[in-house]
Amino acid sequence: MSANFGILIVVGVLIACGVYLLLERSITKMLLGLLLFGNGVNLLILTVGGPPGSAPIVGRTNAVYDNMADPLAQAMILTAIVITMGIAAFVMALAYRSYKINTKDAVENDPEDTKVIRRRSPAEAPDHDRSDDPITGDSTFGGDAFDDKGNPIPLEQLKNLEDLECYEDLREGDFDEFDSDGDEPLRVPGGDRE
Amino acid sequence: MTLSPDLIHTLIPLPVLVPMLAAAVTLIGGRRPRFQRAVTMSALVIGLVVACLLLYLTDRDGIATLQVGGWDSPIGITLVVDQLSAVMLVVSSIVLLAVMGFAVGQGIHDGTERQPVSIFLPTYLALTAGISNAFLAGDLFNLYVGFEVLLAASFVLLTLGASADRVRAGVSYVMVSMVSSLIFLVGIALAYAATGTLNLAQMATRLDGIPVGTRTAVFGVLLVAFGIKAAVFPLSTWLPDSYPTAPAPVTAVFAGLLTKVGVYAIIRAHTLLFPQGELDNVLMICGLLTMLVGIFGAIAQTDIKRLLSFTLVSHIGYMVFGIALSTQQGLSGAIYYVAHHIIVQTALFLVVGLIERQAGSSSLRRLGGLAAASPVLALVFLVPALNLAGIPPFSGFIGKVALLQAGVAHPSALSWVLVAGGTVTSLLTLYVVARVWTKAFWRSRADAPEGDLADVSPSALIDESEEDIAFDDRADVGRMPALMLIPTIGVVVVGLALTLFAGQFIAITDRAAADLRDRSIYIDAVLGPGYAEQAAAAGGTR
Repeated sequence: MSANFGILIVVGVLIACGVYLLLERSITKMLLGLLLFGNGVNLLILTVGGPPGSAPIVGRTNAVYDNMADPLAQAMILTAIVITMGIAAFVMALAYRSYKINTKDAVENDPEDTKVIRRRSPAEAPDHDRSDDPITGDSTFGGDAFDDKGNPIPLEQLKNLEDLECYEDLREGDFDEFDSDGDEPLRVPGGDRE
Repeated sequence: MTLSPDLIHTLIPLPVLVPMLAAAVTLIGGRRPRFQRAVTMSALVIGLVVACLLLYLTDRDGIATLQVGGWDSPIGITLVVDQLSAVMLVVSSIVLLAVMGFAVGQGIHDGTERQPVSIFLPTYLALTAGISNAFLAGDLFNLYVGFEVLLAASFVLLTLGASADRVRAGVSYVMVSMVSSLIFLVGIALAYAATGTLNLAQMATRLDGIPVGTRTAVFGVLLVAFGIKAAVFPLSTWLPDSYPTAPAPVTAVFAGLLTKVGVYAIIRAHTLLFPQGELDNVLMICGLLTMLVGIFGAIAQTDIKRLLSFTLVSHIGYMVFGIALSTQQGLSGAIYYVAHHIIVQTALFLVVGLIERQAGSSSLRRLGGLAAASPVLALVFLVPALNLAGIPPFSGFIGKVALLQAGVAHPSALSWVLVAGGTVTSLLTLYVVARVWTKAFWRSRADAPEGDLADVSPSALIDESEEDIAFDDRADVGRMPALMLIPTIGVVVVGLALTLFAGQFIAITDRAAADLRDRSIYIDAVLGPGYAEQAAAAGGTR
């Protein structure tokens, strides 16, 4: 099979432009890139379908071509065009929605990714506890101020001095503790002290 | 009761037809939620029954085909069901049914006044049809169409409600998916140029005759396309960015099924079209990097949904490893692992849905005290979490042992590196889920750094969590609705059943792997007996 080199070059140019546009931030440019890429691929399928020929209808002959063109390639291109069109409509809706929300047509970075990148101290680590040391990230005895059900241990039952200190540090945030069922707030003993 | 072998020809198209028709019916009945739910539920139950029958029949009688429209292959469109397709259909039907129950249960319980329910169920059914079509496709272009149907449906499901977050995630997801589809189309064009056919069976016989370089190039292009869909390492970065923003049930079904459709396509292409294994070393290295990079990503995450998305990427590496071994043992292990992983990831994401609803967050910086607050929730999290990490006796352990054994039996040194990588990944997975357990379930909420903040009241489908409120001000959501809890427990129990019936199930995956590795079974079933031999003889004289 001999392929049409001219068409292949066009395919290459279309796909290259499409990829370039897809790397943009603007949704509209990405959509254009998608369409160019899609058209490039459609042309590629047309090329691989073989040399040009008459319309693939049995019994219909043509003065120019002896053979029929490959109908399967055309069927594939039609399917691909329909799919690309549907998706293009959806992307336009997304672009419009993005414009309505952000008043600009651009894809932002994932905020969660940004948060992970910007982590600087152990206090921002995912496994940090409030009672952990904010600078070194080490565990402290503060976590011991809670019993095995997660309820705060009343102040008078705390045994050693470290627990007591950490307990007071924790209470500074005026944290309303829920009891284990999550039904009603449980006033923390000593939490209201001046 | 014995089932007639002819029954299967009636059954083959049903996994595609029933959900497609049901999607049309539910779209028409968009204003009647109860009618919609009834139709969806019955369509998915029918799908599950049909899939189970297909698995039984293919396991008894072997592979079966259906020539759609009465045109014989290779001209007509062929639907093929073998043990692999049937196993995938059964597992996906279970997951789709359970997740639908979960979503509907949350909708019924928490109110659906402002929810886009009228579009949710039809789209969900279209997704089902696309997934089934991909599993049944007997020609490359039909596989592409199956992918497109499920992708188009997934675009809608991912951007339900179109909040700012979901539009952002949706745009990158749509773009990446479309690029992968276009690369798939390029692969189809190249394969068509090389072989002059799209029928997988005929293509398999003809690919033997073309030069190694050309064949490897075609495989490489297809592998990139499938690799994006399956989230194999250098092509996996889109997944953790897009999945976590979707509604909880949607994330559950995406995480469970969509990547596995890509894995299925890789298995099919690797066993049927390109069994010579030219790219096996590349696949092995990709598998290793997928495992390690994925799990390292998971360690850094604060949000449980993102953390689970990273473990999802990581564990795709195990399946790629099993496929790249090119042995029957490896393939059987990979198929078992696919089934295990679909079930366990879906279960975990459904549990996260419950956690979000109950505790108002999925961030480890906010959660705490859940084990005391809801022991049931703790149990349904702990079982699949340990299962994912591969603690015996759960199915994750069995799957990993099967894969590691296959790796050890493989002669190359690279497979030993993968065995080591797989073990490390398993341990790190245990570390990651243990951290979720200690922070979200054991630690007191008062000890969580941002434990006093929470999301507004939960919603099944739309995203209203723009602003945080104080945990104390959060409206009481009440007990977990039974309709949400039962599907979750159901998926967890199916995961346990994979342990209980591991012997029988591995026997099925062994037979599936054996049939996949003997290509002539597939080729003869599609193109008529003796075709494979004739083609081989013709190829030899060329």
